[in-house]
Amino acid sequence: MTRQRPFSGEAAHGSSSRFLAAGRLYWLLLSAGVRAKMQYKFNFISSTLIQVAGGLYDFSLIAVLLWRFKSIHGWNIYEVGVLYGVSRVGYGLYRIFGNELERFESYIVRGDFDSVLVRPWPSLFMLLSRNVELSQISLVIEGAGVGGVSAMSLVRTGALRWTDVGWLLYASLASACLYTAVAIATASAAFHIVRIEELQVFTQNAPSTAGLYPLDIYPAWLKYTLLTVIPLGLGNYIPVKFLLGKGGTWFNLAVPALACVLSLRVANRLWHLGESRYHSTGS
Amino acid sequence: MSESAAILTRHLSKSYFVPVRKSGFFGGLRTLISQEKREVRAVTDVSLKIRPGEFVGYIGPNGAGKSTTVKMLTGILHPTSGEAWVDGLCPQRQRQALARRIGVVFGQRSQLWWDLPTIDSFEILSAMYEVEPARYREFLKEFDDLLGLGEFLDTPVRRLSLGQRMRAELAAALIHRPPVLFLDEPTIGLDVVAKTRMREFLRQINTRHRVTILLTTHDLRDIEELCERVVVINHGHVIYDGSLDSLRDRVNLPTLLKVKYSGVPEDFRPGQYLGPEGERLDRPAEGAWKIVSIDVESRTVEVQFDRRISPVPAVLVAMQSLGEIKDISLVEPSIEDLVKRTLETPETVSGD
Amino acid sequence: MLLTAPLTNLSLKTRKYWVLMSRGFLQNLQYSASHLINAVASAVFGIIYIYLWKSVMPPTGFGDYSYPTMVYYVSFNETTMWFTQFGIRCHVRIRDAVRSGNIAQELVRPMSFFLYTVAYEYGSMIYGLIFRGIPVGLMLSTIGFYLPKNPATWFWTLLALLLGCYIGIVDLYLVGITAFWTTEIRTVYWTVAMLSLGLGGASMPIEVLPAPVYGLARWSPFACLSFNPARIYLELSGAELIWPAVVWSVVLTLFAHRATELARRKLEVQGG
Repeated sequence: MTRQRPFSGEAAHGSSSRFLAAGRLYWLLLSAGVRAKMQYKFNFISSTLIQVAGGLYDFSLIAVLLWRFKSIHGWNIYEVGVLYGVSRVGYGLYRIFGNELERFESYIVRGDFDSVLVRPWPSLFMLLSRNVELSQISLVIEGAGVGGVSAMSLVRTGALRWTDVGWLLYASLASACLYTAVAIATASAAFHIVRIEELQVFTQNAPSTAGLYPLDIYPAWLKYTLLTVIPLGLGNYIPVKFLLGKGGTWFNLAVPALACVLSLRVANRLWHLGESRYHSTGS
Repeated sequence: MSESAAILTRHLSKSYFVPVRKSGFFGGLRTLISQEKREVRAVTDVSLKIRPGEFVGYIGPNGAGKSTTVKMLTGILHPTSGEAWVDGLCPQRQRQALARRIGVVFGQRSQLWWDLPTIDSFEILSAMYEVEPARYREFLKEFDDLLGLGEFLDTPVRRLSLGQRMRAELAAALIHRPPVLFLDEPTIGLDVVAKTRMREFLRQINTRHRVTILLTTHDLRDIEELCERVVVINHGHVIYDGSLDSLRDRVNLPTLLKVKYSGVPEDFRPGQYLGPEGERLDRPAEGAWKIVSIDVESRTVEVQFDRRISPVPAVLVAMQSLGEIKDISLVEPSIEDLVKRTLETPETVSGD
Repeated sequence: MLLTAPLTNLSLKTRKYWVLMSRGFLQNLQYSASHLINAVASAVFGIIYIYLWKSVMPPTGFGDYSYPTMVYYVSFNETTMWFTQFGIRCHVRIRDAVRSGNIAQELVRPMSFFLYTVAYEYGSMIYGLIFRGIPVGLMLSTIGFYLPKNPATWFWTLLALLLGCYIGIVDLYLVGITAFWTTEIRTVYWTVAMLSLGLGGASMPIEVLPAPVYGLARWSPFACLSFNPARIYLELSGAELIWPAVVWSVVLTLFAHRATELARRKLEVQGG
């Protein structure tokens, strides 16, 4: 039998091209995820449509309330619509790209996290690039629809300037980051307690519902929870409040970016803590 | 750390604590609250030195600590005490760097993209491991020759047969040309033809590219045909380390022969022994075979014998003198038998 | 002997449904810890809705509802939703049985498939009320929970809830039965689930809806799930609101029997 060149592994490239390699890999993995989903086109289309319908239904509940009672704590239907849109688009973006965090419990329960750890990239990056949940685009469509129509109406009456639409997009992206940070922190808990589905209801589902309305309507403890421990309000409520002329300063527009940097750092720290616990205990 | 070792462990141990489960009403809640923990010692004091290019079988019963060891060597778990190096790297501190130098196949878990054509998985993995395009094309060509990948590259993974899928899994684990390969039950569930093919391939990888292979399996035939060295682990302890032949010599594992007659010879009784000339004995004697069972309905007799003393053809000839044989089958000892016997023999761990 | 035989027979017949019901209950019991945690989370949703109402309600109130009444309305519904709406799984079980082909065996059991399904579901819904609903109610009671003084109110509310739970189960039983004709029941399920929540009045009294929608909703079976029991409990309406539930129970039962018959025939035509 012929003996050929011994296998010697592949070396990692330099740090600058490594960044490019990560980008390329992420793109490749995401497009693979989309192509895989497209194998089940009918399923994809029907679940997207159902979710758009479900989302519009959610908004119709608020719309009915506003139609009947005119305002929520001094916010009219268009103003609430703008806040709703920003929150929903941000949440949707998180759900599209961060879906594996949403189902992270099963990685720990079924031991699939091991397969993430034998890869030559940071585990969080490997995890997030494993799948893209395209059907959650429904949330973005619905949020952009509600937010867009509301913003247009406000622009027409002069309550909002054209340029502010850019700020609203920025707030949506920041919200997506904050949702992701909260989800990473919550998923990290799975390394310690395994079962996190109930915890996710507390830290993700309930806060994202609460964040659809102006935070002023809530009792102080709930409002400040959403501005500190679970800082989702810093991405939507704080900037939108200023843009709609309901108080605050230009600093309100800096808050989302600062909050993103800080919360992603904290989340990353928690993730590493959890991962090292996984290394020492397994599951 | 030694240059001449592909895998080196020193007193590698792993223990962890699991909460004591409460049963009954609110059992789950009480487990959560209670701090009662039980220590599980999965791996104790494992010291191994595996040279580059060695093909080592790592065997033991379920829960013996095989996969915990493999998880420590691949950087998934960190040892409680002791040290490990794989290809000169420390799995615990250099997990990501090590990942580029090892291949891993978990027989029960797929690393391929289920809904996409097989080739797509290879392309993704080659990007993940930053394989140069030219080297990747070289890989595809070589592995097409070796494994016949070409016939199913465009088929979605979910439509592959198990044999095809395992070939694809192996290729996927080798795309970055790792010098060390960990295989966890790579032949599980395969039919005889697919198993043979898989073994042939593993042998080639091992000899052609000097890939060091650590194989855990439940199939002694895998070990028999592939590994020059076998490490037996039980309850976290290494109880044997050496060649399979010397292990067989030591533990004297009986082989089981099932013979189906056209009519069962009348005076056969289980527990009796059969001498080399076909004579019946009531107690064991040198070179005698034990009659384990007789099933009159299916006219089948099972005898146990030591292959080192009595070659299979000799046993067959003797059995034939007792009646007309319809069918025969040979049952090789299982890993569990092997471990049990190893534990029963006084001199346990041996060097190589 | 001759007289007691049919009686024993009858009790044997009902006994098996009773056994099924308790099995549905016990099946859930092993997850009690996580359900209790879940209940705390659900209470947070209740709190969100209560404060939402607080911020939109004019000081004069709305129709029959003053601000405290609205708090009571929300907390009552967040509690009873776990009995009449959330957690009904029979449609999923039927769909899975149709997909796997096990449905053929289930249909030939020596008992009514419909009653068998309903009985099991009832057990698990009673569990839902005790381990999910009541903890939610206890937590929301820190904001406000109405306790009627009149025993008759309790009686009529209980009856309305039992019928509401039955209607909720039969609704989703019918959703499940559609699996005999289509492989995907999600669209039907979502439609029914949304109608149940929206027209059922779980999150807001249906008088808030535009008048024509309200007119439709109040006589729909969905109103029997949350809106009618809540009005009885809060003593805004009397026992007469039981009637829609009685009528719908009968109508839906007839529907369900007919649908089961058609499904059975469809299965026989296909040869199992």
